[in-house]
Amino acid sequence: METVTEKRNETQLKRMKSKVDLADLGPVLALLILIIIGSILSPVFLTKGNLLNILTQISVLGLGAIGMTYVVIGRFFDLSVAGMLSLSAVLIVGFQPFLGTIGAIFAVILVALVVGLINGSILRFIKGDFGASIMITFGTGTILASLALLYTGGFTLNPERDTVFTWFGNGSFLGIPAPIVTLIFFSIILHVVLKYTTFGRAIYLTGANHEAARLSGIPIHRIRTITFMIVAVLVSIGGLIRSSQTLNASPVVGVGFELDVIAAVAIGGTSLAGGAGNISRTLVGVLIIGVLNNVFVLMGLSNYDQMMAKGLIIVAALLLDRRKELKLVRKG
Amino acid sequence: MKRISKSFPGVKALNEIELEVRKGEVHGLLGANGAGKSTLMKVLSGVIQPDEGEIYFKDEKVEFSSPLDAQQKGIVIIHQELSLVPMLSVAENIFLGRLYGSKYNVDWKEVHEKAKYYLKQVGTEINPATIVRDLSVAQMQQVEIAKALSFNADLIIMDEPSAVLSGSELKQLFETIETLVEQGVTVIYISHRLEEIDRICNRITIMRDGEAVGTRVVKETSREEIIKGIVGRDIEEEYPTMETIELGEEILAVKNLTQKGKLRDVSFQLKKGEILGIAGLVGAGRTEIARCIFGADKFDEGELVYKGKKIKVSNPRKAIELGIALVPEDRKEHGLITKFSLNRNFTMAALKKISKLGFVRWFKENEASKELVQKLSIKTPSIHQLAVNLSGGNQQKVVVAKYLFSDADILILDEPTRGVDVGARREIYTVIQDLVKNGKSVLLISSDWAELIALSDRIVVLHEGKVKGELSGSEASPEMILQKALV
Repeated sequence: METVTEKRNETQLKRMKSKVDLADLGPVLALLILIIIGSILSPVFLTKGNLLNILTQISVLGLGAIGMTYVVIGRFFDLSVAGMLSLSAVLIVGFQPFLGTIGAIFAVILVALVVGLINGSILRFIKGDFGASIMITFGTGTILASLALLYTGGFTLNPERDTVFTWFGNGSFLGIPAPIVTLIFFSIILHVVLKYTTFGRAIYLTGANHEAARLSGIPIHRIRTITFMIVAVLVSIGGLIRSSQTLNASPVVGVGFELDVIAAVAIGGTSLAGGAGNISRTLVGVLIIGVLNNVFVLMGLSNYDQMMAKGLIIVAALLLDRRKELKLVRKG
Repeated sequence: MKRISKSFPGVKALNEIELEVRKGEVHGLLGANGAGKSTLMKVLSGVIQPDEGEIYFKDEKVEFSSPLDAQQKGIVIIHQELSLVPMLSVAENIFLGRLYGSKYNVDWKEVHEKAKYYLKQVGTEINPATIVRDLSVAQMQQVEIAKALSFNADLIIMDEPSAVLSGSELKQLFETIETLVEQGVTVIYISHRLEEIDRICNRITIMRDGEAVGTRVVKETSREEIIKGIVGRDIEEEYPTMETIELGEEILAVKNLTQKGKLRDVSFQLKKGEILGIAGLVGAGRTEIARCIFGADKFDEGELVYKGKKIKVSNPRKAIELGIALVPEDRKEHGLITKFSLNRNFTMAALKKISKLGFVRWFKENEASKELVQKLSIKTPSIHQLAVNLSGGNQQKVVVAKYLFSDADILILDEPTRGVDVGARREIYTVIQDLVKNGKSVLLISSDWAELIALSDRIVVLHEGKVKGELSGSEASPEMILQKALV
């Protein structure tokens, strides 16, 4: 009797493993197919210049998405990234005359930390769940976006083009454009922290089962607040890159950014139900969005077509995610 | 009902039950927690289907595939947790989903008039336009009953209706029941409280361990007989003989613990190596005590003295650091992360122990997990198995293992054997025994009194949030516990 159940368990385990693996591979396969399509459609696609171009374009999105991955694994959501991007893009430039470029960068990071702290603290105060986090961060994000507009009066600001400032958007390191270097740098840090540290483990535990984690002595509120702070800081660095890339600071640069970020996380396969997902998946999601946009441009498609395609892909990704969840639930 | 059987995986919830209810009577249904009362009533009201057996209603064989089915035949169940929609009016609730009127229009006049009619039958004058949220619990119950009547119910099942009512509201409920009976409605009344049974029921059926022990006329049955029927079985061999373990000094003292509306002045002590049982009926405050000590809930007054020092546990993390652990009643939702592997579950309460400078050391985690699997003889093919795939008993062991790994000195076990089959039960008992042998102390909460008596050194009996008495494990009998728990 015992051995029978054990055997059944084992086969079940194997079957589950193989299924999960397949679902994990989905986004990677999609990315490969996109790359193949791109290289067939356009001879330019696979050139070094175009590939670096794709990566440079997705770096800001990537920074937001890897940060958001932390928040989503902890079973929360952060819509305030859009407002944060706009505000940080203009504040960097606005602070430059007073604090110097490096001082301004640190000041904006400080602002981001405070924003994350506020988001987390409000949620703790109202004992908010997933749904509450959407509404709260929608609110705080709107406030941040309006602050950006109020601060500039709706105009774009002109930055001081010193070497530090221009490096982030236009410089390079070992021949690789600085935005890509920045994204790789933070991706590695976030990946290592998530996978190998107790803090990373605590994020997973918190997201998988709030109450069980709490009863096991994990400071769930602190963990979640820190994830909000991390995403805000990464987005503020994204704001710096954006302002540097365009050499002006627009107060509306973040409009729609939150949706792209969430799309990247979801397409990558990080479960919105919390407790699962990782940085590399999200990067795949970011790449898919980047390659897709690039292929569209090479094909000469309009913005509207792009929107349609992006929407369809998000829906497909969520359907896949849901199926996986259901399978687990049925097992339980 | 004839020879009704129902099995759930691992448990036979109902075993060839026979229940005969006569028209126009109030039939009491008694039994300890887990005796199968609720399951039986779910079968009768169509919520679940029996594996075997037949139901005859008004001399006619019936089969219910859903609650709606049963409702149409005239059998309605009123659950302990009321099922009204708080934001809607009384009338809307009564006719929820079947308001009068044409396809596009609700005939409110008709609806309110009909609602008033049924409310009157229940013996109440509530305005049908009142929003349900604004009613008292007793009034909500009346609305539920009126709703039942609107289905032309001939048989109304009330599942512990008194649990949520106070003295005067209870009187109101009895009057309502009397009104119903006058109109020829039959009532099945489930309750733990013997006084109520005496007052309202004509006949009773006692259930125990999924079987019907017997049906009696209330007036001809003494209270002792009823208690004996409920408790029934002697302490059989299914419990291990406990080795006597020398008790150490006091490790925890709970002093005058008070939580508004839940606990009043609860005091007791726990010694090193002791198993202290906590007995009481549902709602007596057992779980609340556990959660207060563990810091999962706050309490209003009182203090905790742990290892000679007054402590403040503001959250579970603090409690775990101190060495206090709670193995919660709902292990699937609160004890485990079922979609995570065993090793992750084992270490989640003591991440510090498997890490260095904040980095998880995987080989240490695996080592510790293997050790725990062996120590508690958890049956699993691997430590990477997902917790969801384990049997209930083994899952319970995983939760215990988690807190053993966090070096707990006091383990509070809340219903550790609920929903666990007999074999796994014995293993859990062995685990508990090993715990105290190794100098840990156990606070054991259980609804299975025979189990409490077999395992505990002492038993504290609670009733409505107050300590009603303390029994020594060797002297206690289920009857003694029940007497204290009921009064």
